[in-house]
Amino acid sequence: MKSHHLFLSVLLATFLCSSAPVYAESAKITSDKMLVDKETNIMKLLGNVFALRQATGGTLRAEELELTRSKETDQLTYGKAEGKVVLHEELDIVLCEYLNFDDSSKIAILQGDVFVTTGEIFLKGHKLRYNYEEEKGRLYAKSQGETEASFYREKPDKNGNRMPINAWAKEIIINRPLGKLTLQGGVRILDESDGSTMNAERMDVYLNKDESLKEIVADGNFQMEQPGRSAKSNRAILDYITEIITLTGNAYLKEVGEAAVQSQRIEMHMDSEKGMLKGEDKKQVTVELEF
Amino acid sequence: MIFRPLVFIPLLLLSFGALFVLMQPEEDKDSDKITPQETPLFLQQVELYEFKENQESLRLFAQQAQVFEKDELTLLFKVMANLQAEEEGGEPTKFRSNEARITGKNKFMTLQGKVEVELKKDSLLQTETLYYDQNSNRLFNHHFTTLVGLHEHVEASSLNFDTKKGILTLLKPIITVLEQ
Repeated sequence: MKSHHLFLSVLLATFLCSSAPVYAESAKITSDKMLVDKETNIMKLLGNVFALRQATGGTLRAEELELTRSKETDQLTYGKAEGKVVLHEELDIVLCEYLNFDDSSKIAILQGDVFVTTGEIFLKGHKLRYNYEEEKGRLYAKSQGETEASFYREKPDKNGNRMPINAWAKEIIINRPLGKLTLQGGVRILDESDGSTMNAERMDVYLNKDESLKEIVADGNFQMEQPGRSAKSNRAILDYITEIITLTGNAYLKEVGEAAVQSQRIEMHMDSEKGMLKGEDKKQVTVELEF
Repeated sequence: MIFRPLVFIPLLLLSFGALFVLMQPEEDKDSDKITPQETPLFLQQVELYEFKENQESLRLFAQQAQVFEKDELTLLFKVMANLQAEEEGGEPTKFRSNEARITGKNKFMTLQGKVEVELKKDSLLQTETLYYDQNSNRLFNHHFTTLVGLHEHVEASSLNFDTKKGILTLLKPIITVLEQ
């Protein structure tokens, strides 16, 4: 990683930005005014900052951009952008009010209505702290607020649409090498394809290489409401490849027109119309009589 | 010929012409082409020194100088100068030009031709006209200027360099980040 490459370092601060090679790139930057402090080696660009990464067409816009180089090595060590910061690289878009990165720690911090999308994933929060070398980070909400995320299944639904699966949580932990987002703290999910909702204390969202949704593992008071059925358990695994949901630990399932069942483990189709596959130690807890 | 120690500009100039330059707008200072009528005093290998509080603040070397006493004009050719940093241990600012012109005794110098300012190692400002105002401790112009560094090439419409604070301001910069 050429960390002194100012524009790339900024782009690398965006956790999901492309895996395109970052070497031997060049950028063009314009602004209204440029200040250089000879003693501190700080360069400030003020007013209508616009940077264009030549090779990819990626852009950065901000009201101010400040860059600090090491006096010893002349390498870029610190940078910050302020005021309606917009990063755009292929399908990746990052919006925030303030962004800084420190090349000694490889940490980038984005603040103020942070919005990140890659086309496949959408994230929104108040502050993103991201290690752009390890490609790991954490997205925080405002106090009393929630972070937001949206994902898409790999394949369209039966109507041919790719409807988003929206999620809300207190915070989101990003682990890009593992293709994993961990949502924790009052996690809620709404699947817009069928209107189903899920709640849990924590959900690990696993992504395919193309960043489509692969699997969700929910822990802690999992509850799900779907048209025609409701379920709850201590833990749930939602496999979006096989479209199987596995409930474990005090699993409970109630389908309309069916008796509620309780088991340590219940497997069922994601599509509520296809119903339950099997349950271990299945125990009927209620009987619904239809007249 | 060496003047040492020599107060930079005043000794080379007569007294009453200062107002002339002071009254000119900055934009016009490079366009007021003076055609001296008198025969100048020719000097070779000129060194000029400026001292502030017993510390050398400026050292200027010119291969040639022409002094027009009546016109209060000094022309310097092949100029190199060192501006000492005010802070101890600070890097000096070096500048050079094909020509320099000092009018009056107002500590105001116009540098012309191929003008280069070495802000620090591997960081070079280039322009064709530059003004050095010792009173306000600044180098400035309103002309196309380039800044060539190790990592970037900058083109700008004007520059202002505060020699005391070491702050360079470029207007309307276009920065090309160079490949590594």
